[in-house]
Amino acid sequence: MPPADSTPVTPSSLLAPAVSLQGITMVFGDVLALDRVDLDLIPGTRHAVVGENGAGKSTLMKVLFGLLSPTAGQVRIDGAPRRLHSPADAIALGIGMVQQHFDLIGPLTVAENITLGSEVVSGPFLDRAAAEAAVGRLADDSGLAINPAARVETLSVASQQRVEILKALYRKARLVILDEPTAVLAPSEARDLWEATERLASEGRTVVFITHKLEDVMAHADFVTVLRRGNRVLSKPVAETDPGELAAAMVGVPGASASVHATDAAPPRTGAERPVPVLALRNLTVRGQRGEVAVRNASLEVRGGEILGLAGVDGSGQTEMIEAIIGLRPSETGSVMLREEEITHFSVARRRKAGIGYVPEDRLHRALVLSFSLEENAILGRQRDPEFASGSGFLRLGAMRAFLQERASTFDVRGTGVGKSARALSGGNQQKLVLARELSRRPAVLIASQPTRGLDFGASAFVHRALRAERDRGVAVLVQSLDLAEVLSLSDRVAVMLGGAIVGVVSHAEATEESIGELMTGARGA
Amino acid sequence: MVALLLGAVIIALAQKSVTAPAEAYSSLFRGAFGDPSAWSNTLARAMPLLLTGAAVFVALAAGLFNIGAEGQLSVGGLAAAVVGITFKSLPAPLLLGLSLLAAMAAGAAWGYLPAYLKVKRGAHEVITAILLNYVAQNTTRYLATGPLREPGGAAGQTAEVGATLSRLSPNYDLHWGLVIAAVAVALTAVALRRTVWGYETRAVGQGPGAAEAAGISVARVQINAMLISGALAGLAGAVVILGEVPFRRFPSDFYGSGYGFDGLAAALLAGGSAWALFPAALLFGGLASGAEQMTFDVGTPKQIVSVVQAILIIAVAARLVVRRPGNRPVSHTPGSEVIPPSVAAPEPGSL
Repeated sequence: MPPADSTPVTPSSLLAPAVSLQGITMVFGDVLALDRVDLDLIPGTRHAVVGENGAGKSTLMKVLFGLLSPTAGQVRIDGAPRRLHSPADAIALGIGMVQQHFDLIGPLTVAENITLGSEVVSGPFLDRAAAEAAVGRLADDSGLAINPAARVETLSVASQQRVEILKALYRKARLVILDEPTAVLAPSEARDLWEATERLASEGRTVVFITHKLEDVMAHADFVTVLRRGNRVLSKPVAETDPGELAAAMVGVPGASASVHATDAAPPRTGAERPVPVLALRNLTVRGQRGEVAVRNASLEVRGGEILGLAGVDGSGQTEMIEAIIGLRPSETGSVMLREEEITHFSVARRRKAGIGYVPEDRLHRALVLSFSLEENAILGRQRDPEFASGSGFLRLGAMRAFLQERASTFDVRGTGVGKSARALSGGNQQKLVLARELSRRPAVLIASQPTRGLDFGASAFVHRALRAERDRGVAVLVQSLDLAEVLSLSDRVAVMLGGAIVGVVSHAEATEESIGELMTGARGA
Repeated sequence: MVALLLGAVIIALAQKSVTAPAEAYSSLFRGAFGDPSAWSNTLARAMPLLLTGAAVFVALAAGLFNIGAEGQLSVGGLAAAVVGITFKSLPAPLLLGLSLLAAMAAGAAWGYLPAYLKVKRGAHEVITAILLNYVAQNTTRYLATGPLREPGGAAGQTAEVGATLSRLSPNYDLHWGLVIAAVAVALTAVALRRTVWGYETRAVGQGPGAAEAAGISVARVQINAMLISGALAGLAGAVVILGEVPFRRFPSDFYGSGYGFDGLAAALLAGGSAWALFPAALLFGGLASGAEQMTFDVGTPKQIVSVVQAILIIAVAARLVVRRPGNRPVSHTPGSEVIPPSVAAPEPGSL
């Protein structure tokens, strides 16, 4: 059901872009994230935006959705320049976006989530039946099958994604942005999604999607735009291009293969030099937040002097497994071994003392006390070390300050004024502080969860260098990331999780985006 | 300020006079800080608030809302009275020390219950502490009117304790309890800021997830904080009961003095620093002692002061809510897809 105010599909409107971005420039600090990028989006088509990590794809989409205000350039809708100050402006102009991380309220039903903000009412009461009927009609019309009365938290990731798309459609979106829509989907679910986007386009809507996968571009897009380091390097109908040309445009060299990853890595090691596992999991089973079996009988070894990458679709049990290693989550059966010692029943403090360093995924809630001063954060977990605590239980404030200064200069943490809180630091500097703290204990095992999430290029590179340096020092490093390119570029070996089980451990030489991707989605058995 | 202005409007309405607020406030101020005896009265009322304020403050520092201070204060006061009556034959200094310790132990035990239930059973400490307040109220009342009532004495109170906290000066009602309270607040402030215990307590209060990941036991810290909180509230009960004035006996209506709840208000008003408990307690003490003067001089109902207090607390609470910085997710910060132009092109084929 096309919304009442949608542009009728006529030959003229097919040619004229409904939405066009002109000369979009985005500067963050001294970093040029987008450099005069143009993008024309034509109704009734599907437009793929591709590029490597850090190319500016998400930034461009955030500008289009009003999440970011561009430094220069303008957004024209139906020919008229528009200022998008917030997503509310974008929604009012018929633009919807489905982010990678969904914005849904778990305990509410599908219909309640979709109608949130424009509820169907009857007098002072919510008209639940009418809302569900409206959502049901919308779902039928758009081919996005869903039960309007189901509670969102009971739905699969793919269904939640459908809810997000329906939410955009319910608000009469003429243009739907999908940020890496298949990253969280199994292959069959992805097929359903692509069918739905086809239908949306056939109704005259515009679909813009970000992707890494060139085969998706070739199969499911009408137009493609390639970004490289903030510049638009190619934009043309898909029919007039081929994967080779796109891959070359992405990496900037003609003839590059389709699976090139950005990397400044030194050649990875084989891991065979130090065959002794420092950290070993033996048949570990762990329950998740809701009591479900989140990790199933997992066995894994991390050797000294290697980086073991942990890949998997979000929610495959990586988080729970790492929490069980660090001691934040009890393990049901199996054991965690550090060197030869079983530490399964150690407290977090004892495990850390025994030599486990941890860079948590959730920097703001797990890694730092945001309201604490920087020197307080710098010793978090070490506050009982004689270095920082006197025998009578008082903190050595002078030692804390000196320690912060030393750590900040070694790890290039900027903005460490006296008395500043951790909240005042940028994400990159926060992460450097966390690394500086964790590495100060000279751990035998370093566990880093999503270590570069939300960081800019420079900070990411710094974090990667630090992880490699630890590896070279002989530390057993376990890196979990949802960013497959990151896992591939860092790891000496890659372990893949799917549905709570470790479905494969692949050496660096054999690890490609394809081979790991197949393991991640279950397309190929171990 | 808002609280005083709103209070003025209420007074004007209650007295049906435009000048009434000015008279009332000037009388309130005289009663609170007008002369040495007013000061003495104010300080005497501020004394227990210092301790209950510190009690609530410590719990807040660990992320717990100790609404049970009133109950802990009552059982602490009762314990002090029981020891003070039972062991009358002991030398006075020893008896005094024992009474204070008994009060702290009783308060700590009363504070331990909600902490234990929260940590081990997941029950919210506010609910359990409110329920325990009822238990404390009715138990202490029953004991003071029943088994512990002084034989042949006046109804609804125990016998006199054997040793009291003596006056600081014969002319005023202030006694050594004030010194104990001031020292306790100072110790609390220093300990929270400067010791490992305080560091861990604040870490749990301000960033429980990070504290846990750093190896700090959230359960242990919270239980310790409630033990200390309860002990401070219990101590407050003891210094009131054991003071040479006004009690020396445990009255059946001791629960309801409001010292526990006013301590809660003082701790909220103090905000981030335990040192701020001093002005906060002084303010509430002044309001209470000024209220009596105001009632005496102008006939303004004493309840007006309670209204002003309540508005004050709401104003503080509202400011806290407005000021609290939103926990924005990182994904909103720009720069997740940023590449500096100066970075050399990655070498293709290095993989």
